[in-house]
Amino acid sequence: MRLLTHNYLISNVKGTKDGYPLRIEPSEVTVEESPFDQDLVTRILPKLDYAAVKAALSQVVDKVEPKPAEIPESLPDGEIDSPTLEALYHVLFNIHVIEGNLVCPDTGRQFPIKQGIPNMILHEDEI
Amino acid sequence: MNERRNRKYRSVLPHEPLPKEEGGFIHLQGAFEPKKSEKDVEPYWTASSLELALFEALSVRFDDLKLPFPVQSVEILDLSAPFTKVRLGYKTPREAFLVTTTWRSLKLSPSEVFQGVAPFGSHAFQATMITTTPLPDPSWTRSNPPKFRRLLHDHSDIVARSQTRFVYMTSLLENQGPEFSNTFWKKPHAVLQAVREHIDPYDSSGMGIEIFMNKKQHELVQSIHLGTRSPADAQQIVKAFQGKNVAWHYEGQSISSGVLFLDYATVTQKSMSKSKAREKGVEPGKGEASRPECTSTTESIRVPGLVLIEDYLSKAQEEVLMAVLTGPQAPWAPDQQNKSQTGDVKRLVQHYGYVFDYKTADVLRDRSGPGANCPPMPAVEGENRLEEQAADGRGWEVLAGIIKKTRAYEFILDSKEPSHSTSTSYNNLNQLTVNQYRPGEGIGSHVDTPSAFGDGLISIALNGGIVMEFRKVDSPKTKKLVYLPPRSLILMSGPARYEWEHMIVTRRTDTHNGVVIPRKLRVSLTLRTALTLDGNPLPLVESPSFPPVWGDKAKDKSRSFSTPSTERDHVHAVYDAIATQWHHTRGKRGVLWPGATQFLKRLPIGSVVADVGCGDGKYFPAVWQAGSYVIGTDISRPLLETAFSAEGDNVPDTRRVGEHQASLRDRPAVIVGDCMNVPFRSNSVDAAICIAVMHHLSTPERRIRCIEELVRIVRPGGTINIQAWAMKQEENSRRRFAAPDVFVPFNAQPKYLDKVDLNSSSTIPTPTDGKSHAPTESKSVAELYSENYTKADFDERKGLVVFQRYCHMYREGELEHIVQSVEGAKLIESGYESGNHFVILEVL
Repeated sequence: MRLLTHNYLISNVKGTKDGYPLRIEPSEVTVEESPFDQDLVTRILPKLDYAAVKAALSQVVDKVEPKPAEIPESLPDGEIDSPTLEALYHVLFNIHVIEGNLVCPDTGRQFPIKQGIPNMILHEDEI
Repeated sequence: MNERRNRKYRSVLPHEPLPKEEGGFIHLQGAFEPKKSEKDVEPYWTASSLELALFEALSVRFDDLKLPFPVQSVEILDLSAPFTKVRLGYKTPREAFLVTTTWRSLKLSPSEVFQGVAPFGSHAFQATMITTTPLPDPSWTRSNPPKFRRLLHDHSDIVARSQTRFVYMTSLLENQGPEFSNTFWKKPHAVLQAVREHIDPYDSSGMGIEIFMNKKQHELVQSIHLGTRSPADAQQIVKAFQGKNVAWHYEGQSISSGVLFLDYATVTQKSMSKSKAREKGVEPGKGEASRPECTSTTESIRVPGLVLIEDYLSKAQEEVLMAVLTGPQAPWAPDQQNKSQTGDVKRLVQHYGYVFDYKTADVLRDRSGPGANCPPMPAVEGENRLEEQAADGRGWEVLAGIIKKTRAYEFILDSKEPSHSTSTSYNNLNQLTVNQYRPGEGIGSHVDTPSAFGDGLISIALNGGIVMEFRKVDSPKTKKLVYLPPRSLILMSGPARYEWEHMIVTRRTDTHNGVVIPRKLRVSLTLRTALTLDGNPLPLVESPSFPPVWGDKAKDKSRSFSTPSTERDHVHAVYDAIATQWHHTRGKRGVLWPGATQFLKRLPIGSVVADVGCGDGKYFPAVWQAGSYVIGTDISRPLLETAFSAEGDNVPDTRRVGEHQASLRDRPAVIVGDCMNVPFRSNSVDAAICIAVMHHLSTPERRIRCIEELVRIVRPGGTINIQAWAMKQEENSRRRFAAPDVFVPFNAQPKYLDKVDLNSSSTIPTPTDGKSHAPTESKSVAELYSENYTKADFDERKGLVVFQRYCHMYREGELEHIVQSVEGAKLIESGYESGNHFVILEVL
């Protein structure tokens, strides 16, 4: 699961007040380099919840090797320079949580991640 | 004399026609031995002196011996005492034949032949006709006669029927007792002889016709098999004798045959025990199909009040009814409530109107009482439009229409005697029982409880034909067998309803007019008039809403969206099992619906797309090619895992991605999730696609919910593309759907089947090399698999596991109609493409 993907995920267990963002508890993280797609990351950035991106990074960074470049505290208005975009691209696209849990900030409900695939299926009593 | 001695003789087999040769010969096997008391006396017979004595006895005094003809020659075949083998020569084969048959019935012994002149024993001779002509078929001997089976009338035997030279003939004699005892009773040869007289003229080859008779018929020969010499002769004989009465002549007596019935037959492998087969070093042949009693044997029996109407339903009506009554919405489907299984009946049963309780054998008149809850009778308003509704897949409407038609139907009773014929109709039919008989299931012999149901029981048959047996209550030996073909209606009224029991034997085949018919799945609709205790019809309980709502099943207000068992068993579990084959045969090939790819191409670059129900990620490459990012969700984890599998060679264009997207392809973003609760935050993604998902949702509420979720997760101004299977498929498509809710089979090859973990703890290893593997124990992977997965069938012939996928096919306008119930989005485009309906929405 990339951090980009994580940005969209919520817990919709019945009765949850606010199931976003899910806290990542990683047990295995991998970094895979990929060609920097400046266009794609530029277009996607405005759609994301940036605070959640930062939170997610802080939750996985200990397991990331090598350590990723710093990303800004908040997204600058107007054009973003290339090195920053690269750093952002790297964080969003190249860090993959392979094993771990996604935890609901409200209820603490854990959604397991196995082989990079989060399981968000709700139980009978959660629907 | 000597040269005759050297010729090779053999017994004439019972089925053979008379040999065509000069002279006829008989072999006598017996003991020309002195009586025990005279043992010590020196034998004074020599071969030649014995020959002379015999000759004298059989030629001069043949009449005294009651033999029909004088012998022409006698040869003792033994060179010295004891003399046990004699060959008699007669003028013609016919003479020899008649002498043989007479000899056998007279049981002549040496002492009788010599009439006490010589001191020989009284043990009868064995007389056998012999011949020098070669055996027409050396594999058939007296100890190994051929076995026959009648040829079926279905496609599997059609060619054989025109090419066989064997004819089955039955009803040779009218059902008479020993009145004709002197001539035919216990004299099978007499019957055969009489038959020969009639059929020999049809032999075009000059070699004569074989007649085979089952040994068990020594009292009364009713049926035989003829072996003509060519199919043409066989066909001539069938044509000449079918349905006729014939007079048999023998020894001056004349007897009438029954109504002759003929059919084509073939020789089957004689069934051999395994040990015998091993001994012979051959494969044990399969035994022939069982041959239950044939309907033709009761042809002449009449049951008053029994009326059979064939083709009561059209094929289209039958098809839609079967689709509705055996498909996912069948009355006994797992998600249905108030199922009618009561008592110990094995077959599946559902009552409408009033419940019939098999334990008490009575109608439950108080519909609010325990166990009396059942759906109302289906009703339809207005004129019947059966064909139109059938074409549109409206099975319940068709059922309601059939009930209406049957209530108004004028049944003609006693149609054979027009002057006495009466017509009657049963306007008060208020009870319907739908029965499903799997092959082998039947129903015990009974008269329907007279106080429970009025006169006029009607049963309509769907899909499979069956033989129903009727037995007269006060004389159970009087029996009537009736074949009920599919789409027929049978009415039991008057005596047929009250004085005859009816039943269906539990077995897998029926025999009708000589043809063995294997049983198929059969659904019957039984319409009756349930009565009050006073004998009046109970009030009609009917409803025009479909599917019939049972009892007090209130609408579930809580809107819980847990998975119904239909989808759990027939969608989720199926895709879990077939994931690998699905990916190999659908996903990898990259055949995409053009409308969906167009939709994705039109999206602005850099869109984030949700693919809800993405399966193996078939559409991901199309999103990446369009420069966007896709997150897929699906309920089947095995399917999602196939999205990670390597492409291999020959990647189709639709799945080709550039360098930039290679990393996306290597790690596609997928999530295990249910489309009832899509785990995305609201108003987040730019677009959503939902392809081939809606047709797996089994209720209108779930279909609405799925669209609601799509609308929720897409941002205002974003678009949604939904595509689902249409009921009306393309002209040249192999698929046809008779009703909206159906099971669509998927044939799974054993080599693709994934690990089984559904009902047992054992798992079957997944072959990873793509080859099919040797079976474990004596079962194939496929068989083992289908045993573990109880919802699948095993197709023996093809060695495939057949899964039934639940599908709801959409009618024109149906998707648009559902969208209307969803707030927050508007319909911007809809249409039909390649067997699918699609809608495109814009979120407001």
